Amino acid sequence: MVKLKSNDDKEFEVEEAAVIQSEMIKNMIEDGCATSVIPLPNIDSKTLIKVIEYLNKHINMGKAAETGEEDDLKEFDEQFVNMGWEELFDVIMAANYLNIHELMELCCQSAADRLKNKSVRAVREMLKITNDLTEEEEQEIINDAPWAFEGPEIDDTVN
Amino acid sequence: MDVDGATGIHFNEEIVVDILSRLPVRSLLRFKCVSKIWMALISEPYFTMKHLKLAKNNQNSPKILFLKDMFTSHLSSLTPASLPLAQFTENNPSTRESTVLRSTEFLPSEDYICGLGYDATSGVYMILKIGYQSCSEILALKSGSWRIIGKPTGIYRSWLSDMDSQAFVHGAFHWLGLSRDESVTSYDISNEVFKEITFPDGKFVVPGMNCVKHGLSFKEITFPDGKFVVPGMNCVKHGLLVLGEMICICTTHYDQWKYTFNLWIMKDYGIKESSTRFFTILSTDLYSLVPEYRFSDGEVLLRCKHFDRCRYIFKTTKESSGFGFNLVQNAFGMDLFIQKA
Repeated sequence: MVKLKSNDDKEFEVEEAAVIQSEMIKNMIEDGCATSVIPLPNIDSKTLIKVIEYLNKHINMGKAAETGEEDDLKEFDEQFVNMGWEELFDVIMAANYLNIHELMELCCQSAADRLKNKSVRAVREMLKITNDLTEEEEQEIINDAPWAFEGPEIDDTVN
Repeated sequence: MDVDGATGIHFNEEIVVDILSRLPVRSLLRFKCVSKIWMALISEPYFTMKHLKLAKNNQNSPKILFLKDMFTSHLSSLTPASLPLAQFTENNPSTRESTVLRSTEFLPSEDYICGLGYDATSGVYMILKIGYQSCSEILALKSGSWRIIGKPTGIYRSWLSDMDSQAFVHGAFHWLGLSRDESVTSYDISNEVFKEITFPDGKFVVPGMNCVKHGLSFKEITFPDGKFVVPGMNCVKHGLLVLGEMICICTTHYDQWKYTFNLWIMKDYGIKESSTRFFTILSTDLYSLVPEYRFSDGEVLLRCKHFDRCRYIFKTTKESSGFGFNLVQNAFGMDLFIQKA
């Protein structure tokens, strides 16, 4: 078992087989640096619980294919990303920090799917981005491809 | 996560790029408007390559991205042969390094076309220079020197036109050769052999042509009071291209102010019997029509030139379903993003 500690000082025990899906922790274990608790100063307990849930479900990915559990795993993934924006971004940052490739793929794809039809205003609000383009610059971009800014599917809601 | 907006969401650029590269082109063009950083990220050549790579790996992806150099428009999209190549300058898009290659050493300067191919066996990129009349030369990018590979037997001359006229697929370069019958000449770069691929007889030959020059043929038109040869009045252009790994030949036939565009597709590589006429399009307002891409549902994207418009327009073969194609060029006119809506 490997012990992980979140930035709000909560400790979690995870099976080695699950936790080595994180390249970062795998390297630490291989280098013999994982004998005591591994502190994760960038990850809060709420996010870490999500990540561990994913890791535990995805142990032995190879076996899933043999035993026909692929659909089950797919369903789990779909349910897993069904979370709020902020939560999703926390998981993405944790997956990036821990270097968990599959989780990164899953969450970035989900983020992209959600952003796909959003309006510019909605994206700015969702990602808390301040617009620093001048009106002229903005108009120039719109004039380049007005068709990208029009259409019934463009969604101005923030969720 | 702070949701009151005071701190915002701080993704590093790498993550933003990862997410953005999964978006369709239409969204990307819109999101250039989000902020200066997003605009810069989306306009980066590195991003274009990453986006292209993801789209290529995703068979179901309805989006395509053309990387084209205005000066070498023969190098079209989505194959190794499409890597931008200009004036014998090699660009490696993944590392963004470029090298100026040695100019050709042997052959007299005549018109030629160039193709870029990749030999998977040796892992070497090759540039083939095909002359209209004479031999061809090949350059292995690793060795950096040109070498003559001769010419295929039985082929009188290469038949190159201003349409796409060469393609790299199945480990070999392909171009139109003119022998007794029109055929496709192929040069396999791993085994260094020429081959001839024939299409069913007369498939892309237009009867009555008696003069062929640079892929453009002229027909004698008989008028009541005599014979005139009117160049350009009645002509045929041929192009060779690849759609979804399949070799295709497209022709443009002009007669009496009407254009006829034909496309033949060879479904199984090298099997003459597997070739079929894919479409015949008649038009009075389009004067150029080049197939560019085949979608997974079999629909083909066409790059057309219209008499009234100076830019290319894009259509699909199933026009009736309403096409949502559009064209965007960056300031240098180099990158064309196309998306099927």
